[in-house]
Amino acid sequence: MNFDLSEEQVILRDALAGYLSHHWDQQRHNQGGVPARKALWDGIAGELGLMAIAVPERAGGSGGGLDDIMVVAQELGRCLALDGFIPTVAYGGNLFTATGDLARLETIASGAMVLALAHAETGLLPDGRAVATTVTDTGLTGVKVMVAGAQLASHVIVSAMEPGQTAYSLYLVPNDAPGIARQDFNMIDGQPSSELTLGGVAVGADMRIGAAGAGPDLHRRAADIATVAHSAEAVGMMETLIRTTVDYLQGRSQFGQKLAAFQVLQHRLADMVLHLEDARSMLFQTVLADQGDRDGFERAVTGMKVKVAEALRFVSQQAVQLHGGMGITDELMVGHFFKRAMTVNEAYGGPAAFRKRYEKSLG
Amino acid sequence: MDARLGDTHVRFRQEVRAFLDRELTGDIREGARRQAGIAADPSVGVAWQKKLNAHGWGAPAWPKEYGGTGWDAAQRQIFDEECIRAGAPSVWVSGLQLLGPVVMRFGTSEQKAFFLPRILDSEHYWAQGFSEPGSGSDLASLQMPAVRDGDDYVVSGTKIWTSHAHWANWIFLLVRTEKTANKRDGITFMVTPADAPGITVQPIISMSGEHETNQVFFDNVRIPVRYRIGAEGQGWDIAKYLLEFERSGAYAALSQSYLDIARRNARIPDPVTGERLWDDPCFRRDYADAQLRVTAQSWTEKRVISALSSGKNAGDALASILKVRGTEAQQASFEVSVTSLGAFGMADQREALRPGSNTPPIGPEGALQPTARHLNGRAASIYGGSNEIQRNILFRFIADGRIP
Ligand SMILES: Cc1cc2nc3c(=O)[nH]c(=O)nc-3n(C[C@H](O)[C@H](O)[C@H](O)COP(=O)(O)OP(=O)(O)OC[C@H]3O[C@@H](n4cnc5c(N)ncnc54)[C@H](O)[C@@H]3O)c2cc1C
Repeated sequence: MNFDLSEEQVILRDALAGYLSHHWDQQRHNQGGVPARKALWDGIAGELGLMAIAVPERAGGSGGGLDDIMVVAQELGRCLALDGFIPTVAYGGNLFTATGDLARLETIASGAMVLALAHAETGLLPDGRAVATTVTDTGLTGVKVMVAGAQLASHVIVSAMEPGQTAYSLYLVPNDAPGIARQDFNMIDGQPSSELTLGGVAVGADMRIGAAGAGPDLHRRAADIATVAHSAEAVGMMETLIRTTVDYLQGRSQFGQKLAAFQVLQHRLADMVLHLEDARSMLFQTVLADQGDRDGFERAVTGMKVKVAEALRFVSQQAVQLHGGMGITDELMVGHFFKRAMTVNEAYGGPAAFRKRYEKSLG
Repeated sequence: MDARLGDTHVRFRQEVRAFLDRELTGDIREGARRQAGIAADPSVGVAWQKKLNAHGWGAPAWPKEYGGTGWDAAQRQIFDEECIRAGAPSVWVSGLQLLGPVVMRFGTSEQKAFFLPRILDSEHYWAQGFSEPGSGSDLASLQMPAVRDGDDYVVSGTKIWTSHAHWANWIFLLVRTEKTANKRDGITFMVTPADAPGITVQPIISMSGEHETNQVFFDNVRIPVRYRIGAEGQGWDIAKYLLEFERSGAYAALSQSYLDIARRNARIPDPVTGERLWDDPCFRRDYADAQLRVTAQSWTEKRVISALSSGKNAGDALASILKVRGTEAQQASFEVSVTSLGAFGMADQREALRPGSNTPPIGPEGALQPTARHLNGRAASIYGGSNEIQRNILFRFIADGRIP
């Protein structure tokens, strides 16, 4: 047994960390909006070739696995960077690998394709097999809400029902396709997001991903891979949060001593680390699980999500608390991590949805 | 033991409800719906305060002789609860709840005559300048010097977290008039107009994007001696007296109102499947946990009221218990109200929340407040003496054998 990163992975991680330290800072994160995010995307895709990480070699990728996605996502989490990575590389990459779509995998690998998922129609991500959006002779019609990253995306993945089907299909739609009306806003973590009104968007034969009605199965597998990536991101975020908090407590004095000298705060930090290490163990378990064993993998992913979400919630809330008034400001990054923690936890359905699947998986 | 309210209090509740039905007009209610922080925007809060005052209800906690209502503790609680239930704006507390009692207790008759009526009719809008960058939890270590020069004190330094200072026309301050062996001894309480030469206010933006609090800089600001409240060196005792008022409050009612929002949101059926989050056992468990916290808190609040009504002092221990459990109950309720929105809880509602905004929220109507409340609500376990500090205080009571 060995849980160390490979030599290549260490090089990859350090290269990404180096790149981010030069090209991504708090200013760009907070105020940069869409242009700063786009520039980071192009830079990382062009200079580091990171979008190719999990694309199979036969499609021009580096053929990496879930462990490589983990390495990248964790590093991104440490710096709150590149929100488009997971929907594109983890979610989209899995979809197109599942359907054997080499051409689209190539566009992911090159960095030309940036994806956003247009699935939810209410606040709750559809967990079943049906959605309200339809695809008929007149095209795609419906409203998709909370489409994170739509303003940056080259394409959106839309779930919609074909006539006569009881389960939805997934479509890859160019973001600038006629008939898409986008209403833009921000999410609390600063991510540009949108509501999409699809008013009869023309659907070409090659736009469907996989078979008619295959959407729910394809989506669930891809969302589970994306959830592993988000959990790695969460681990990176918690590492930064804990480090930042310790530094703060060691630097600030009240009552004539360093805050870090108060035992109750020492124990709080210890609890934060205990949560982090639970999360890391669950992440390793899932990354190393056999994806061919559908039930086993599902149990690993869903259980991981429950523990990671619990950990991220605790760590982010306590990091704010221990910073005192400074923790609630827009000025320090701890508040931005707090808000990102909320969106990471909610991604792909939120902890409660995963808890139910985990409980069911126990038989 | 008897938890029922007496007839007079039952009638009083009806009277308050009737008043709120009548006076809480659409525009004020709409303004209040856009409040996600500690208090309403002054454009809303002051209008409401003027209405309350016109009705003789401007100062629920003040004795009659100073223009207050003279209500007992139970009436005050009923009033707070009904206001929150009806969706009234929260009036900014610094003048009414904090400075007012201080002036009544420690002020000269001139100070009483000058300040109290102006607090009542909102002519004076107050900010609290206690905390400094180096003195938060350890407030007594505060440094800002005030040096006597003829009939003035000259004050230089900085205060931080001065909430609503950008709207205030007066600020009350703790300053250091003497370097003493015991740092609590050299502290003095004084007040100054916010537009005195040498004062600059710099905004601090919170993580919810709101501008509620500030850093205030004092550059050789002259404060006349007549604006000192109490004696030199008496500031710490005054601050302790004031903080008792800051720490008590009706936490349960606000928490309950967010549980109600959560319940309404969760009962909206999914248009495709007809399913409701309300029927989801995971959500129901979180909701029930928060509800239990709120229920326990509301009964703790009743006990405090009952003790106060029978003339007993609630005392520091109960004030700390109220504060810790009250803020925890609030935070749990705000969080459940966010959960009830699913993905819509992740939308930044800044545009819709702007005072006077006509922008609808992203998602259902019930999505307007919860997320910003949840973000702002994290501060409640930090300000007014953090929950860690409150637990330290509680331990001293336990160690002394005063509780349980
Ligand atoms: C939104 C907001 C509004 C505010 N409004 C005002 C205002 O209007 N006027 C005003 O004067 N002040 C105001 N404050 C300031 C507030 O009172 C302080 O933030 C508070 O006292 C904590 O001080 P601090 O921020 O310096 O944190 P610190 O004292 O630095 O505390 C940092 C962390 O260490 C913990 N800690 C500190 N000492 C101990 C100890 N002995 N044992 C265990 N843990 C400890 C704290 O609990 C906290 O978690 C406001 C603060 C906020 C956040």
